[in-house]
Amino acid sequence: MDFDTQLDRHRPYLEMLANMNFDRRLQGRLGVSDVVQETLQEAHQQRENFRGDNSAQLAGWLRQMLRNNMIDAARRHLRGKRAVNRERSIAATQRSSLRLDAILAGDDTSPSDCLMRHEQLLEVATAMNKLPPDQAEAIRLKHLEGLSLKEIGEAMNRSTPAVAGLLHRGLKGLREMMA
Amino acid sequence: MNDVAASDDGHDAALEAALAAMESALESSDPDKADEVLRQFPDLTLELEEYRANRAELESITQPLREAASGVAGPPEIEGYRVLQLHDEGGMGFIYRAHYERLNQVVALKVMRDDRPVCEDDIRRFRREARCASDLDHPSIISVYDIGSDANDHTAGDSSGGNQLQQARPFYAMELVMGESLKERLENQGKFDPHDAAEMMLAIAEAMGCAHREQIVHRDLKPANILIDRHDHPRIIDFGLARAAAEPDIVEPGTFVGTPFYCSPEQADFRPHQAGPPADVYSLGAILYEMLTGQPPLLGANYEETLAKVCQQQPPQVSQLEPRVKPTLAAICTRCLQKNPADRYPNAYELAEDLRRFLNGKKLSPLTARFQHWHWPWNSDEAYRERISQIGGTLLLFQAVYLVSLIGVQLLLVYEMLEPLAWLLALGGLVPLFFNLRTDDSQGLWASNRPERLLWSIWTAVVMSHLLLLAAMRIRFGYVMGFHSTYAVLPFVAGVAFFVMGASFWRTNMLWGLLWMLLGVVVVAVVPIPWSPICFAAFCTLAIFNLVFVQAKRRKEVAEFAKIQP
Repeated sequence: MDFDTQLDRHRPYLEMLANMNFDRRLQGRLGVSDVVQETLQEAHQQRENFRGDNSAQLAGWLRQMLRNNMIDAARRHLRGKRAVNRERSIAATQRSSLRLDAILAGDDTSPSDCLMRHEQLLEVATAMNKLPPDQAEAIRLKHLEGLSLKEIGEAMNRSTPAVAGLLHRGLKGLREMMA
Repeated sequence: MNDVAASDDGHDAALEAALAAMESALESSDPDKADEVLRQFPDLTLELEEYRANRAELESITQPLREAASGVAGPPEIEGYRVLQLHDEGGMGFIYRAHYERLNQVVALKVMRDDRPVCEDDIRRFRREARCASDLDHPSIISVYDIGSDANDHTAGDSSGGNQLQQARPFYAMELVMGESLKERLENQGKFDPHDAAEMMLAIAEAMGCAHREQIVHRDLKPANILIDRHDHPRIIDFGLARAAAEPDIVEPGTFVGTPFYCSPEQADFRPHQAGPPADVYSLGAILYEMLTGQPPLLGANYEETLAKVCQQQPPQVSQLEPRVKPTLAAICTRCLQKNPADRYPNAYELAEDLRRFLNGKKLSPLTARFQHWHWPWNSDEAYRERISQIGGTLLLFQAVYLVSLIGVQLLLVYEMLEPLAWLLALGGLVPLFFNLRTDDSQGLWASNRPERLLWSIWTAVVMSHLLLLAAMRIRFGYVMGFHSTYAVLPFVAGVAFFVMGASFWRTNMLWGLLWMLLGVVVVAVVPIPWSPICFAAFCTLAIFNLVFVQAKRRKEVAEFAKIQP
């Protein structure tokens, strides 16, 4: 697999991470997909500098860039806002992405585990992108954000049985795609 | 679109209801409940089982990621509590909503973080936080129900017998307050109405006053640490940095604790050991300032700059940012925000006293009243004009008295008679002047604030030099000639006085100072000496008329101009 195809394979995964780590209020306004696009472009331009040989290392390299771009995006967005809010929000973004680094870097103690888990996440993220958007959103809120059925209902403006239906069909879809 | 089709179909609606029941059962993480749901819907068992299996499979992949992202390695298991949900994340601990079996109620359970290395100091600090909060019994301070540590749980799992202290997770259970924090309130609704802000701060200051009397200093008061409950009552949380005032400090000198916008200058200057109750008073002042104006007192472009400003700069005046705030309330705020801890309220209890006085419309304590006109002679011509227009009537009355007494002096001099009466008129006519030197918050006859002190010293000097000149001239030239010469020299003295006033009050005073001196030149060089008292009297009248009529009119114009502005 050539380098650019590899990069493209990581797009859904990076979007998933970015979504989990941006303050939810900022997600829409900052344009998660723009930040990911920017990150992939940067990776393409700097491919000479990549010194790893497996996909987990590539992912680590991409995460690093994603993190910096996320902080930059938060800065850009908040420029001109009240200084107080600005400082608070940037601090929050920095904190959450530091946390993200800690999670994923801390795993390096057992490289094979890490690689396997990483491959699984990559697969899940890719499969979720192919689901109908409402099912993908319900699954994202349930399994990545950890919201309760009731909270998802409120967030998506639907009844709890409707959300349960979305989850059921979404899980089925994932199952088929990942089989 | 799938969704719409599904709800039209009867079978799917039943399935969805069953799925919702199943999902709720799984969320409660009680396996019996899930089995019960399966029994409840016997004809849907296959679908429900499939859902359960698919859900478990995806969870096995996403759960570690989710937990890592929120920094929690699973909810803690603590005897006597059933942990329900992660509620909030603080600097030192995670706060869970948990069911406390002993009281049979839902509480906030704060458990020390385990996602980063902890040292003994952290654990001691966490325990002290719990102890400080539990020592305090006040309706505006969150009550602590239980303090403990889940040591057994963790050391049992740790077969290598590693450092026990690192494994134990201290926790404490406190009252769960549903509502927003003051920080969220400020972000959502902006600044408060000044009266509401004073009432809210009174409740907060009373609670902190209670803590200060117990010798406990909070040291991290900020809007995020003040919750507002359903009845709009503030509740103070997070005594994470608190310490007993007498206790030796865990925080090393040279390290910074606190939040830059609300931290006191002594904390910003890395002298945490000096941070006693007045440091909390500063933070309360900063919070009050933000409630009144919508912004913290000092803002820097970044963390370090904010800290530097807290140490060195004076905040903009409250009244400049929010004209609705009364000078008395602004004075309370200004006193809290003094750089020198000794100039602030010694503790929150006294702050509460003054807030109560303000809310009841009573006079503030004299030490606070000093701050009422702290700024006005220096940067507000407007305040000076306002003052002049307030006392315009008194000024004219004084001038009328003085004019009459000077005419009397002039007549006595013409007829060269009744010397003692001339003295009485010349000096007695000046007495009403001193009643014009008082400000709104004067305490007795003496100067009680800086602008008053300045006015007093200038005009006392003028009157004294008048008296001494009279005496000296009388000795040198005799009665009539002495009086005449005094009034020829006096315009120079008045000129100096006006000139000095121009430096502090409003600039046109300097011009009047120059005019007075010119008058002196004219009187000495040109006017026949016997007419000097009446010349002086006329010019005094002119000066006062200018002050009262021209300035008051200008003030009205400024006010009207301001009204036209959108």
